[in-house]
Amino acid sequence: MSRARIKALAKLFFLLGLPVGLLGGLFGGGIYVGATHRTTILRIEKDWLGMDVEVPATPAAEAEGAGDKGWLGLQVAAAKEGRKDVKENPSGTVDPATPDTKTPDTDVKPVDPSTPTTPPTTPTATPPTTPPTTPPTTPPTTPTELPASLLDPPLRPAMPMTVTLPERLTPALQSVARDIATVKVKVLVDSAWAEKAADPFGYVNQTVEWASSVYETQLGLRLQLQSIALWDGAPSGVGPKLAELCDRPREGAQLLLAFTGEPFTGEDSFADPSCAVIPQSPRSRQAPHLRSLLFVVGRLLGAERIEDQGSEAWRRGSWMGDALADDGVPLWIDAVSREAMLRGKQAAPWERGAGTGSSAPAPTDAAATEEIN
Amino acid sequence: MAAKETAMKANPAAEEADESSSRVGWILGWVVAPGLILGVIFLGGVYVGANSEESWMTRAVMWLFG
Repeated sequence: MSRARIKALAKLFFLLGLPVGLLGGLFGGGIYVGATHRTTILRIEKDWLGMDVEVPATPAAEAEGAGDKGWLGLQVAAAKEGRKDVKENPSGTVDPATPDTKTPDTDVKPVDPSTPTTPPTTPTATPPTTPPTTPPTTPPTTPTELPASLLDPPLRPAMPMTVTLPERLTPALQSVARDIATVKVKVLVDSAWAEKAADPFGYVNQTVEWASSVYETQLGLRLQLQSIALWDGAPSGVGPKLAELCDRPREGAQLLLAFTGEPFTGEDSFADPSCAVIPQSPRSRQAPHLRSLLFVVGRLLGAERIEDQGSEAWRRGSWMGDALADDGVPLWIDAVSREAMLRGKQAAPWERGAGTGSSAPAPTDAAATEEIN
Repeated sequence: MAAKETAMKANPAAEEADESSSRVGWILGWVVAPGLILGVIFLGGVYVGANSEESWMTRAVMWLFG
């Protein structure tokens, strides 16, 4: 090949190749920036451009909360560390059928929610009073770090219901929604209901986790599960339960909830902004307590119950209206209720709770009680 | 003669107008338009990187630079 031809080919290569290379590099740079700042960009797309995208929780956000990693962070860290110990029962886990008499509350059995016996897998079609069965899981020993890759399989199944993103907020409310508030929650499980469940503690963990993810993405409110305890000898009926619930020890939790087998009726099941009974929905097979939990928390935040069944909010399945919708109806909140909840979130009603139960950590037997650090 | 003087006086103003419009044109043609095109290409990459985390392009870029 002659020198002239080689020279001509080189000129052509640089004439075409350099611009294409520069443009490709620019596009690749954009891809790199987009991939490394995914959360921020998705948040901008959702809040500013009104696009229908799902903003993932950032690792930094998961690590917040007065230094607490949260249950999910502990579970993931434990799965990374102790995959070899698949079937080992954690020390200190109390068998729900054998109450530990050393606890100060003899009819309350605190259990570390970070050491569930069997976590849930894919939800199966079960009667409303029977939560899904779950396989054995890895118990966390010393939680250290979050997973290295987002490609790791999730430890919990995806929420069985879809979530419809709400309408855009005004700029003022957007800033309220972006400000993440964490509420420490303690859950008491009615033993009468728990006896019929395969893994009541895993189910409670799962339900609170799902409700927390919905509230965090839509309102900036995170429900941090502090502890779970079995409520032996709970009175029958929502009213009597409510009367006793608020006097229970909270062990540092700001919100005290009780999961029960009573059916959801739409009536208020709280007497105090910091404690409430969560009934179950007989029309939900996958997550009987999820909609009622969303409804009750919404009421605690100050949103009104939607009673007009002809209203658009009800027909579209807002959880402040049709809390008895079946699992096929996506979870959605109407704009009016959402605005009320955002304003209520600023007021932090759970901190004004007049519950007479101790809010300071109660002295308990270390072998019987474990809390998330 | 008077017409020539008028034409000469009008010329500087016309020249100034021509100069400013060419400056604006220069800015538009060499700064704004290319900047827009390059910006769109970059933002397209950002969109792909943020929304298509599992696509081959994103994985290739992260493999190269990640």
